[in-house]
Amino acid sequence: MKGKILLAILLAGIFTLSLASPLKIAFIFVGPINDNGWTQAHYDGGVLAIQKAFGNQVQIKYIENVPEGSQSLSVLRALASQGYKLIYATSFGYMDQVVEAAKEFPNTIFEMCSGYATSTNLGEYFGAMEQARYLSGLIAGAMTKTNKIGYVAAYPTPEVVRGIDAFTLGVRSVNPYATVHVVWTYTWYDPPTEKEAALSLINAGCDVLAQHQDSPATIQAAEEKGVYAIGYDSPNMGQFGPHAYLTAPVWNWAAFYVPNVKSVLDGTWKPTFYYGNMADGLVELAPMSNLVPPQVQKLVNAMENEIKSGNFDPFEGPIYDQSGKLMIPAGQRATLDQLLSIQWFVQGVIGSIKK
Amino acid sequence: MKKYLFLLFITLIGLVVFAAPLKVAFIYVGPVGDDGWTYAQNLGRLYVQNYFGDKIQTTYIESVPTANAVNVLKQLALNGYNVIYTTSFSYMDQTAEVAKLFPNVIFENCSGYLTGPNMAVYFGRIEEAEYLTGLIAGAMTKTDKIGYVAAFPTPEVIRGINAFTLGVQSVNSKATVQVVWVNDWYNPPNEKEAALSLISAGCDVIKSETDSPAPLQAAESKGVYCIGYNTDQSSYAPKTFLTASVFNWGIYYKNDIQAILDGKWKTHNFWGGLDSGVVGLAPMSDLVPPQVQNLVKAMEIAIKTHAFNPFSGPIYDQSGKLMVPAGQSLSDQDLLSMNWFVKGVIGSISK
Repeated sequence: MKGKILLAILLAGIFTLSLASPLKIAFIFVGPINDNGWTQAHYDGGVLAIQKAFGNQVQIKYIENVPEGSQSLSVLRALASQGYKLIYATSFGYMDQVVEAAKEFPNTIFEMCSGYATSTNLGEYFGAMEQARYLSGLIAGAMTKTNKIGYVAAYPTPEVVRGIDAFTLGVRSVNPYATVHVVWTYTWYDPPTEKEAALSLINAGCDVLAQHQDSPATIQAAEEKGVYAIGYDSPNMGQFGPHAYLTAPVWNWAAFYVPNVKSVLDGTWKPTFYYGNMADGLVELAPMSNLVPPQVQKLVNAMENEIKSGNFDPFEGPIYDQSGKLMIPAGQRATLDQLLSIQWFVQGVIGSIKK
Repeated sequence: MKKYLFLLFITLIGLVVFAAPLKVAFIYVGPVGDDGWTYAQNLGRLYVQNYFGDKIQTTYIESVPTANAVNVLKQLALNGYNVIYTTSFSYMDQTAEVAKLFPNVIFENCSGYLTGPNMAVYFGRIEEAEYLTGLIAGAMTKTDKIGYVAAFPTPEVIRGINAFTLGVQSVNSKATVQVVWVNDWYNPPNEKEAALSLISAGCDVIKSETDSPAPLQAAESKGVYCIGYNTDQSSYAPKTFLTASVFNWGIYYKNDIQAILDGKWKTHNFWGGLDSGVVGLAPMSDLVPPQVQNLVKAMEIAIKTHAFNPFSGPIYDQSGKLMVPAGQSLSDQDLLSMNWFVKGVIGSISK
């Protein structure tokens, strides 16, 4: 009897202890949390969603505008030293530093977004945005009158290239005459540069614009010039172009962060390479605006279902590259490895990938 | 002993039944060489004749005028035909009349709605295939003007035009579908004329819904794309044929005759869609780009699995009036009596 009571007291003590010390979670962000884009999507789906799901079991800190590259290492070290046990690094450019920090702090869990390195205490997470890009391409292809569609692109990384390819495959599924014109900004978040690029595409005759940056500058340019635009990252972008905005492929990071934090709290966390998709709810197409006609909306919704159920894959062959070379034969689908390293444009893209 | 006699009797009847093949007749509205509606029906007949071998014996009478139908049907019944398929809506009333006179003969009318104890009706939801052909037309047009050669303004034809136009508008929000009525099911010169008038008006994709390949030949002669009807008519337009919405009547006839042979036939109103295989899409030609083909195949699956219904709302009529609200879809009753055009159709229905 005594033993049982003692055990109960002991257990209660441990329980109290664990309640008393919440899991310390940190995020490092490449931009500001109010960018209406990438960083805001991680803030909303990460910081806010985790806080809401776990309350006082967690204690969350975030640092904005952390430059990519070597400078990020000192930030990571400081967080680990301060007792943050779960650190999310939310941009590709932090990868080398995260790998280094993970070696230095083996008792801290690191999670790296959009990279590829994993280790015993380092996991990776990202998602098949290409699925939603394809759907937004269907809309662009159905809406263009000039058959010229502009794409304001960030950097020629595989992530961006596969987004452009998926979008163009969508465009050409409904409009084989349309072309997708790519302009590189070499920025993730630089509104003036991105706006400039958008305006140059509009001047060249593009009447629908898509983008891969974290700011709404492209939508603002489209609104000014009276052409259509497709956002990215977050549905918040729509407010910047009420007469231009059609939809946006967006991230719902909560679909990853909440289960991930839960696994750490449960002690079941393992380093994985998570690649979520529309079926998981990680990737979504933001609600289409009223500018998209009803029949187009119905087609897009139906194709979304087919993608979610696995009946359809945007990267299903035959797919040809810009030169007309068959890259994915009929009846086959691109593998994840192919997609994660893709460095070629599909037929219909006007632009080049700098090697 | 009496028991044995009885068994012997039963066996004899059985032998007689097995020895005598089921006699199946078809009456056709056009010639079997129309390469359209009647040709497709006759392919169905040939399919079951081949499938069932000497268990059935089939015959057909082509180009039967409606006025002669009663006499033709009576004669077939008197000649011992057990099953008679009348393959046009225009024979429905005559079929019902003769069915009453011959209660031991099974009558089936294609595309009608009257049924009785020994009379059934059957048809295909060709509009599901028409939606898919519309996706292709909408993707392929450059002028954003698509021409539709239509027979009569019946609900069947209107459904097809509407489903096609909904497909067009799903991929091309600017394109319109212009309708010309031939007021005939099979009239090659007039069908050709109708197609040429649409091409002159700037249409660069021609969809045919009449029973001959004449509209396709017209499109081929003018170098514009075309989409057929009834059967794979690609040979009539090798340079411009995209695809066709087709009937695979053999699938229906096979199941129906099997039920008759098994003694399980009951009167019915069969209306099969893409999922039944009775309607389908002819193979898309190489002129249809691969990504368009992939999309169309995915939507075909979506319709077959009932994940998607071309007649789900919102759907507006030509005047912009909301006819089917979002979240709802048209009932079979609505479809069978459809007498309005969806937004995007240029043309009118004479009342």
